Amino acid sequence: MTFNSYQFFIFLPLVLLFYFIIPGKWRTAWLLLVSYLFYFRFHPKYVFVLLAVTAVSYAAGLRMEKTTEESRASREEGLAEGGGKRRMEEAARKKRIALWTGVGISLAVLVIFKYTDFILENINGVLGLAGREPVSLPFSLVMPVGISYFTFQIISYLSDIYYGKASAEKNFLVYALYVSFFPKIISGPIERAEDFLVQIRDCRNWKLWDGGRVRDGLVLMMWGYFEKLVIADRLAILTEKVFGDYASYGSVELFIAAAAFYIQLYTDFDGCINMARGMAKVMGFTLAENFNAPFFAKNIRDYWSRWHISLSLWLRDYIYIPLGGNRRGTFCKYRNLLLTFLVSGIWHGAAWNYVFWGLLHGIYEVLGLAAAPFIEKINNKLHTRTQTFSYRLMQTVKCWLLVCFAYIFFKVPTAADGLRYLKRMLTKWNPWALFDGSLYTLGISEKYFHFLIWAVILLLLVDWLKYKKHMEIDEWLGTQCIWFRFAAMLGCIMAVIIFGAYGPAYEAGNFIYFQF
Amino acid sequence: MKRTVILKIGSGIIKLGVFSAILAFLFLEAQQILKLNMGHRGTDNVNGFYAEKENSIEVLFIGASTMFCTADPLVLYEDYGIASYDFGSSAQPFELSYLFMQEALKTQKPKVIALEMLGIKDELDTSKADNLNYGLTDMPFSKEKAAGVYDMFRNDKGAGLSYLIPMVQYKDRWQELTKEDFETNYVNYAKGAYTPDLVSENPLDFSSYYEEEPFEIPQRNREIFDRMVTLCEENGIELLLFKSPNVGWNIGQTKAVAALAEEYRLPFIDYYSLMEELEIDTAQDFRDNTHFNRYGSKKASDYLGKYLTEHYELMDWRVTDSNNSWDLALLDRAHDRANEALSKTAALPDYMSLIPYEGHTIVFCATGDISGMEDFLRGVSAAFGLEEEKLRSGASFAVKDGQLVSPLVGPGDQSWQWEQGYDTVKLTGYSITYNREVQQLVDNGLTILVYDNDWRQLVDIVGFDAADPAHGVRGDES
Repeated sequence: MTFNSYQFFIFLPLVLLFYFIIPGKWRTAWLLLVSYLFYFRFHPKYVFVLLAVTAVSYAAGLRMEKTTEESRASREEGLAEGGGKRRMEEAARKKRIALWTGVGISLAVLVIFKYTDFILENINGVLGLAGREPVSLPFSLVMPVGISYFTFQIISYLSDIYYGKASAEKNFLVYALYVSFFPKIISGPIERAEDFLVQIRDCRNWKLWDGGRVRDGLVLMMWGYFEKLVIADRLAILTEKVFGDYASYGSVELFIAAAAFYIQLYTDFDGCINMARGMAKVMGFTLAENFNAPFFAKNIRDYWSRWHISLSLWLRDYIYIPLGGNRRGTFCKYRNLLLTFLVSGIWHGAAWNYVFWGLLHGIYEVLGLAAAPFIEKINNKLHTRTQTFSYRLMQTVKCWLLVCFAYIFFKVPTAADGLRYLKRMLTKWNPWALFDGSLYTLGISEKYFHFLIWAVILLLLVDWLKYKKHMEIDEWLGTQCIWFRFAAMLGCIMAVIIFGAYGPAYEAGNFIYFQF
Repeated sequence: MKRTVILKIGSGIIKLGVFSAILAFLFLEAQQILKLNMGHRGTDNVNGFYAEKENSIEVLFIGASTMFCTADPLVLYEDYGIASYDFGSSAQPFELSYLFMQEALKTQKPKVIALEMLGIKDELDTSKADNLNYGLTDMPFSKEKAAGVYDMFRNDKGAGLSYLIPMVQYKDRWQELTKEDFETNYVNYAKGAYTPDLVSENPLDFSSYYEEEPFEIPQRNREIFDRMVTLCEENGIELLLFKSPNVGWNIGQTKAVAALAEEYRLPFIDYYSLMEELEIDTAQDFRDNTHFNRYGSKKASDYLGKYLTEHYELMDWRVTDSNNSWDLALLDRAHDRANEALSKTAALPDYMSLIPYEGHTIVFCATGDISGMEDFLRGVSAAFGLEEEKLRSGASFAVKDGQLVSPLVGPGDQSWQWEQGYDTVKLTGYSITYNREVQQLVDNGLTILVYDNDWRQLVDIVGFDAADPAHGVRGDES
């Protein structure tokens, strides 16, 4: 049951109906029940995996909280009696054990389900070279959806408790809902305890019905469906066709497919996040913003501050900074950046092309930082007007191209395929394909092609609103007159209904980021 | 509760109501436009059925295309006074036939339901979307339809949804919309029948019919049949079974249907056994391997008419004023056949004699050298008071309802334009332009455009070469 399935359109109204009519004290339990039901519909047995890691991390959190209290008591005792240092050390050790138990088990579950096949594949590669028989598992593993998201969320929770940034949640139901809240469990955003746990604790006391907020939530959801069904799933037809047989196409088609994939990926993921944030908003919750007009980023660093923000912040706080961040000199800074992007790549998928993609972004960033002083010098020498629109535009286009190239490795099955794709794209130059109708043979009819161009322009306008005015579409529409609001909402709903890729002629498109 | 709070809630409810109403309106309108238009004249029998006056049908035919190409309600009305309708759909699965019966009984109280049995041989194959679309697309939403579709798609409920909400499967048609998609004409003047004047290229070979193969009616279809019998019994309706001939059906299947009829004590008309008696000609009476054409249908309908009047107490609707839609339908058919005859006529003299001036606009365009068409020149010049010399050197003119409505437009004269609805006809000294497309079928001769003002449609555009006026040229023939 994904957000774009028929079942979900029955599930969500029922969830909301009961959510609004039941007494406040039952809200957490209700949301937990429906979140587990939602998860159950993906793969029933993995509900137990979710429950197990939730229980272990819950216990680890409580244990750390307890050792913190013991340590505090020991410190107070020590001050009073002049002893207790040993007990404090003992408490710290217990706390570390609790942290690593919680983090270790969660990570182990992630590695087992997500990376076993990848590890075995590489071991077998090495064994093959040594002329040995390959090894295999006596059973097959299917990765539970959303495992990467809830594992990272659990790690941040435990880590924040360890460093005293957050306190452990005593109520298991509240904590379990923090991990499994259905709008975000499958694709994030990766929520922090300090932001989201507080909301769950308070939701029982909320005065729920706020017409404006409910409307805004629905608008956000509607925009999410527009992005997913009208743009992403339609572009998916083109990208699947071209990437699936890239050796048959020339530069123009390959470039268009690469650009289309970048747009597809964004609208697919942002669409999913907007649906999640919209439905959470209807219920009164605020989920973290995950995208902030990434198409307008002027360099790779800027891009990562706008793309998958919750993951970028997580990687910064729990990988980059613990590694030393930029505090230990330039070399360490570059090394830490590369390692952080390596983790990002591996997090995205258990395959070398994701590793390559992550490293490529790391290299982009390192090169960008290293080259910045030289570029500044050149600009100064040439008296380049760096504050002009044209300079900013060129920066944005450069960033766009770099990201597009990197996403080729994200899409293809192997890194070698990525290199071949890139080579072909740069060498098989066929500009006539722009004029001879070849573009309309890529799975999207001429009329849909033109329609998609308008849809992408609309997407850019909405993102520009965010970029320039820091307003999301629901906020902006809320400031407009009722007739315009009605027209915009009706137009958007009708566009999803008529132009959306759903129905018997289409396979219900899963969200790309579900697989991570 | 404070007054302001009440006002706020009230305003919210009104806004929501208005928004929902506009959305519903837009959705239904868009769905109506986008769904596949089955309504080319003659086969829109689903919409046509719902447009029939309540309780006006005494004999209802149900089944697949073999049904509506066999039973012709207009023959039954004209010759036997029977008020009937062909409520079927192409390649109709048996489960859909049951749903059609249920739907029919909501507005009609037929005395007889005649069921064509082709559908009983196959189990429902939900992957054949067209077979379901023909029947379900225009059927309005109802609890019977929802239950029927749910039953048909019990193993894949998601797929069934697209038959309940046609928008789901037809939305992509926005790319191919034409003017016809924005026009709705629910009346089916053929009363559901489809009997074109086409003849199969080769005589039908029924030799395989007698190669008996073991056949058992699928269990599911037996259950459906049982439901049909019960439904008819509950509503006091006589159920009549019939099977029209088609290549692919065999005697084993006929025997199975006959046994079923006997088991339920129902009459069964087997057209295979009547082929000799009805003098059905396998070379002339079919349009393809499965369907009767106009001539075969006439023979089959005559037999049905006699059978029905002999075996059931049916009213002669020709002597009542309460139901005149069949009379209108007969007029419509005569109109249609006149147009059809015209569009099949090749020789200029015959064509001129068949032109239906009443209710039509006729446009003539003489181009190039038209010597050799003296009779035509003399005829039209005299009839409409035109300058023969000007016409001889190339000119156009239009006649509406037998009256000249345009000037004689020669080369160099200002063009003249005529509009009917969204259709436009433009005359110049050299050519006729119909809806922005130049229609010049001959270089030296005469082009005639016939437009039906009542039906607002083009009937024919034909060119007669001055050197060979006996062989008119149409469309891509040129």
